[in-house]
Amino acid sequence: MKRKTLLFILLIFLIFVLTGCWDKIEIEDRAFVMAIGIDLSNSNKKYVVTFQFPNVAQLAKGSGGGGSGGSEKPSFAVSEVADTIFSASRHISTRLDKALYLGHTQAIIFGKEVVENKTRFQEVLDSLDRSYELSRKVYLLVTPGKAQDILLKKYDLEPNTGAYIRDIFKHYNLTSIFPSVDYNKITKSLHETNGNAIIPRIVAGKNEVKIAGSAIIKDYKLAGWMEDDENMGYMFLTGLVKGGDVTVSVPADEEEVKVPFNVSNVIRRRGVKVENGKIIYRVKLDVEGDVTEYTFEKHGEMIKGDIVNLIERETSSKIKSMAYKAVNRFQKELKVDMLGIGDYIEKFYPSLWDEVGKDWDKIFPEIEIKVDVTSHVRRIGLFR
Amino acid sequence: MIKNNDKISSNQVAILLFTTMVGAGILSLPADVSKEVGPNGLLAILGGGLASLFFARLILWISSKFPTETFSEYASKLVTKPVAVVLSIVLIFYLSVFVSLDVRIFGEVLKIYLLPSTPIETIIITMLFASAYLVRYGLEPIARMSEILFPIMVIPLLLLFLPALSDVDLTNFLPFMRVSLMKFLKGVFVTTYSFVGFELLYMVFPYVIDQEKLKKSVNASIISTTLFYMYICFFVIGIFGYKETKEQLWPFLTLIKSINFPVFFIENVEGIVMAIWTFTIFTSIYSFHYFAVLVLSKLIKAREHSYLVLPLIPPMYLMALIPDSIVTLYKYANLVSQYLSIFFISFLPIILAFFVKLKGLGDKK
Repeated sequence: MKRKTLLFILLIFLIFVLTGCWDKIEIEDRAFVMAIGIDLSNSNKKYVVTFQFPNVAQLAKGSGGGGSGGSEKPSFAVSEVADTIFSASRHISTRLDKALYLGHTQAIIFGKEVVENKTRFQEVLDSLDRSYELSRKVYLLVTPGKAQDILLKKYDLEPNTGAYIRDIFKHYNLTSIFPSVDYNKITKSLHETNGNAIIPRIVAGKNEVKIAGSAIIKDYKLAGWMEDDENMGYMFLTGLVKGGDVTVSVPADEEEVKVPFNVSNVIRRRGVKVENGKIIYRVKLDVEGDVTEYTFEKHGEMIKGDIVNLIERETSSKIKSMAYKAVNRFQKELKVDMLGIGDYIEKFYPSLWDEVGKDWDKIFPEIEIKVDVTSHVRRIGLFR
Repeated sequence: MIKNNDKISSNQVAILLFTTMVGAGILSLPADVSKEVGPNGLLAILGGGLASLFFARLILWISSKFPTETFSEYASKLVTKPVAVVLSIVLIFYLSVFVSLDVRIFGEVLKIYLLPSTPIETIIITMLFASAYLVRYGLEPIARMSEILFPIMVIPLLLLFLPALSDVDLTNFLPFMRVSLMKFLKGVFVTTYSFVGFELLYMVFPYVIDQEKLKKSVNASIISTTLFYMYICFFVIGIFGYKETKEQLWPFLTLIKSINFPVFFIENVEGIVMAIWTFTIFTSIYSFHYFAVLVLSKLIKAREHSYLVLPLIPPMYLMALIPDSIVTLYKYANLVSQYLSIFFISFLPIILAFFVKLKGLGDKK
């Protein structure tokens, strides 16, 4: 009898133990945020934060095959005004029937005003760094306008803007005109150089978005924009180029023709020398690629080699000029080492770094940067 | 008297050692070494591993002189009875503190990543009871549990990092050895928290069947632990660089967030990692728990250890709740590992070895 009573009491206690699942949230009650936009606000609160998430119910219906979701929206975007990013994500729940979940966020877009303000930008970055949910594979972007404008719109190509941006990043190597850096690399750069980074730029189009060029962040503040050419030069110098095209002019019979050189591989070699107390940083680029267009009337001439040599020379000098454009921008204009030279010296010439490391910011504008480019045409298309 | 079903093999000791050592330290180890030695974190871990190997072998040598006795018995022969009692009490306290620290860190991590609204008290008490349930049955079931969990925790972790191999920048390990010797030694020193666990060699010797093979299994377990840590730090420091690693609270978990998996449907693997992480910490908790109980039962000369399992839980639970934030939690963890661990890992073996030599004890096989 005593045994039975004991068992009974134990079973009663089991009820409390077995309930579990305090933190259960059903999947349809979650809003899987795909993109976040952060702008400064004109009101008394600091930020306007926009969250964009797909309509999960409609997605499920679509894949079921039966009937088109027609009138239903494929995705939603909501904005909230708040003093911190975190409170925005909380306060938005007063207007939403779902719980925001940031674990699947693909892109975070900063409005220009955010990156122009050092304190605000640092606040935002810290809130991203400390977040438990956000993945570090998120793409960060800066837009010259307002992030809200990009996220509140629906694009026909892909209504889910976060996935849209992620997919654009996937084929960056077709152009190499924007740096393919994700949050991980940007925050690493900000930590290592104490506030310098390159963040890709996103521009709102009428019916699509465009990612091209980049924003230069110096000392946690927007220092300027890099256009396509400069950006490609920068990417050549930092070894980010994996593909892309360089267009060069080649003289033909009547007028010049433009020839695209399709980069397929880049090998970068670097070295540092000290001559008469001056640091010389030398970058040697071996660029491989194909020629994909020339001109119709010259069929049969490409195979002779002269033209190939000419194209190689022209390409080299074009890449060189792009690289020097970037060098000028960083070294002479902005005086900020975004080319990884300090990092390189620290790693490979540690004793030199002991001398110059402390006031590298002052020494960097004085060093000499030499770029050598050799191009090789590997393929010429299907005609001689 | 030792019961027959409480005997384990030397292979089981090796696995038990590995699973005990690999615990909460793995989360913060890359940040700790990066802070001290910059890009040479891997070497510091190697140094820590070699130092641990030396002291583990020293402890093994001491206890091999007393093949049928555990810590409190042979310590009283070596350093007089009162000192041995004090040492045993401190050892019980120390092992219990480790249970508390591990279970608290476990609770914090789980709360953050998986169960935001579950009270941490619940997580802690559940874990402690699970451990108590296992510990009651003695050493052999514990060793078998470690054998079962060992592949589950090691193989997925080894595989999980492989997709990140292309992101590893080998230049992050340069410049090579440009830190001063003092800094490097300090870096070796901070790895101790991650190697804590081989103190169980003080107690485990009489329970081993093939005692002559123990040397080999100690070597194997400490070397594999070192390699395991180096493997993880290779990825963490190789991907983040030491400057960013040192600013992070748990670089190991941050790394998990930044790995690009080639297959889309397992985009975020925090869930998987948390499951593995539960085993990792559980193996450490029950091991410390068991040996705390064992020392206590030997100290008060109890015939069965299992009655003492539950009474240890309330103090462990309360100690786990003492730190009021994660900041103070790590402060306490550092204090414990810097003073108590160093004492039990390095000073005590040296002192005991000295007395073994002085008194010419043991050595009769």
